[in-house]
Amino acid sequence: MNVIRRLILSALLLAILPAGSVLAQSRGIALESKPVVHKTPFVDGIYRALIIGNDSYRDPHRRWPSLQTAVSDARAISQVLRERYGFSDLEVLENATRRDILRALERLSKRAMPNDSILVYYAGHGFLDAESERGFWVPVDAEGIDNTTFLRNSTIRDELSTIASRARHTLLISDSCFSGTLLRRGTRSIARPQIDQGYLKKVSTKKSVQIISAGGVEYVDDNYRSSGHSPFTYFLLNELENNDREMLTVSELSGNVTRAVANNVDQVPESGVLQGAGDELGEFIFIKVKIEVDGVPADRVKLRVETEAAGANVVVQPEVTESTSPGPGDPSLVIPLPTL
Amino acid sequence: MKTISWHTRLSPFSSTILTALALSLLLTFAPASQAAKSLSIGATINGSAWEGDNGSGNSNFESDRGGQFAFRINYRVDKFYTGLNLQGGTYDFGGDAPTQFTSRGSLTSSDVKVEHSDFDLLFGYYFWSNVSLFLDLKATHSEWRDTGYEQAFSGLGFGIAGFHPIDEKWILFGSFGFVNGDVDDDDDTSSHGDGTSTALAGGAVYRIDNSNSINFGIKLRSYDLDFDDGNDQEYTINGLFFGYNHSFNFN
Repeated sequence: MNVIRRLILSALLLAILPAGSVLAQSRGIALESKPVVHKTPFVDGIYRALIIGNDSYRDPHRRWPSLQTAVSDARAISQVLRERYGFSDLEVLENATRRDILRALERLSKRAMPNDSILVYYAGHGFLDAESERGFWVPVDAEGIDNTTFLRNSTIRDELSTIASRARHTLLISDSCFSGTLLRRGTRSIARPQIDQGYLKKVSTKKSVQIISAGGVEYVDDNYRSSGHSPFTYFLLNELENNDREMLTVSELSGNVTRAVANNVDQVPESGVLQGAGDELGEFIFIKVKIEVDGVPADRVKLRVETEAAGANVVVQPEVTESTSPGPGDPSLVIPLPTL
Repeated sequence: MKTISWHTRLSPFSSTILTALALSLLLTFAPASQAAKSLSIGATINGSAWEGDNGSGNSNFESDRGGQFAFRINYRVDKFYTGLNLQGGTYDFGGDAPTQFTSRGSLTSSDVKVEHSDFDLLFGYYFWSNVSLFLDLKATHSEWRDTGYEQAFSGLGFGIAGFHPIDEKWILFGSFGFVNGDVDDDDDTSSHGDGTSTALAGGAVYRIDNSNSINFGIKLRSYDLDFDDGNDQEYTINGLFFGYNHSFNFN
């Protein structure tokens, strides 16, 4: 017994040694906050996102081949949202099962607060039941064309409606085949209004529930020109990374992405609002923020938006905070030590 | 009032424990380390009942009242955590009490107070987003006040723990694990029995702010001890707990 015990303890000590060494190299921290001032009005809320990328399908019937770019699409989207647009609450699911997705959507809806802007992104296979004209997301544990193992559009819309009922702005971006079917019960085509300060002020305070899909009722491509991204996400990333506006509305974004995709591949993205989810003609607005807190990981920086009394100007200030959402990597130790 | 002494009979673990602790502290406090770290301290009080039976043909026992006070310190580096738990308390038995099984025979006891303390040194890692696996180097110590008989149980435990945030204020948590260990008595450093302890806990945390929280829940522990002379003893120590936690973050 003692020999076995000593062997176990020795293994434990060996395991601790590399873990500590690797962790010790992972982050660097110094504090120097530099406020960024925007000249347009906005509301006080948190940017949250659920990013899903499904590559590795394990369908026993081999109906769903593995994809090349969905996971890298998800990672790239996550990175640009965190680093360029100040998303402080990001959950990324790679190769997610049906249950993973539903649980993540449920978690997201529970975290949603009234002034939050919430984005859900999905990259993976989609399915259209031609007979019933129902669309689905296909999780990695899908089995053949048994659509009970898929995520039905109506379920996605229900989950989105729940999130939308709690948040100010909700945006679904779906990069999958037949994702335009999500808009069957939505209002197609987001009008592209004239963007000025008055418009931004108006739409930022009104509720929005918007959808951008990679295509209509059609197949969409996977790897665009060996870029490592699908055509839709390639041009979506291109717009987000090269955007030079401080505030980018979804109507602008979807318009630019739609034109870019349609000009280059045989695929036309669509956009609209989700019917019956409380959209009040508001707009999800991406705020381009250069987070200048030297050495602080972006997930430790949140936006604090202060609206001045006159209502004309707001200050968007990066604020180093402790995360309020517990999880690995979150240093708050609120869970009691699990002693035996 | 008698002061509860933390028993030092951790051998043959003591040198290994101290080495492990020193190594983990050295690694996590190393100047070159830049991983996100945090330290939390907490105190917990629990009211619990100690009940069981002294083996076939022998008496059952149940404490009239009892409880323990615990002090905990937990150090975390990203997904890795290590922690120390020290807890102790007294259980009053108005009637039959746990039999004192020694290496030289057994002595039934009744109408006695028994001091019971726990020592835990944990190493855990979050292998999944909200779920961790951990090892617990555990030692318990019991002392019967009437005879001064002392009994120790020590071993290596393995467990799984997880939590589920309800919202930004409330978090549910739970853990389960078991310890296989040896039983020693007060004047014999060699084992005269062995046994298994299992523990199941669950509860909720309320976050007052990012540094302070309170927690409460239920913890169920059971012990199944087999002695070399053929006797066995089974008992449970179940109760409710309430605790406070304060954490320091080093970013």
